[in-house]
Amino acid sequence: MNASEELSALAAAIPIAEQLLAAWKDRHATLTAAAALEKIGTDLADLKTEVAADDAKADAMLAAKFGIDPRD
Amino acid sequence: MTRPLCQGCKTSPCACRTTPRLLAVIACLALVACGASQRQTTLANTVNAFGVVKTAFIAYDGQHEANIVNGCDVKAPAAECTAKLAAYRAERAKFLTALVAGYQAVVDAYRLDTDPSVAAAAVAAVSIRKALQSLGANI
Repeated sequence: MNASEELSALAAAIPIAEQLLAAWKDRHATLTAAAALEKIGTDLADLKTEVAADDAKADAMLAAKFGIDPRD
Repeated sequence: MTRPLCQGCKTSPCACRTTPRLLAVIACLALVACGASQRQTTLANTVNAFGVVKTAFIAYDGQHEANIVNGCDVKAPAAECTAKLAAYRAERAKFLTALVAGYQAVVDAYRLDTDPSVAAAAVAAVSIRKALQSLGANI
């Protein structure tokens, strides 16, 4: 699994959590559980954003170090 | 799980008391979950612990990628450096997959609200710990 694929997998997991959160709210309306599931969605989104940012920063560092165009 | 096992965790040297590793705590808590209320508490704690792991990993990830690039010999081909980054990212993918699976297991446990589903979340937590160890992250 390359970086792009792993980010896609993470992105795919977010709507799963959101859908289950909605289903849980409908069935149980338990604030603690709902908050926990909401946090899962937030965590996964945060992870995806931060990992992508780390990759972009490392790629930019590498490009600058070796004098190559990062778009290549 | 039965209540005596829960009490046993409080009085015996089980993993959650003998190791500082966060995910070992999760696994222990999940394995001793008893009853709906305790399952909910266990799962909430697990979500919080996963969040701590996620935050720590993000800090590790950025620094580790920077260290890889900084450690590359500028006289060597750029492809060597790219390969080192790719190798790390391949290992990282295993951890991310394990973490997402862990979150998914927790979501399933919330939905099912059964002891086996909480136990499955504990198994997922162990997988996350192994993936972290494979990465070499000191979390």
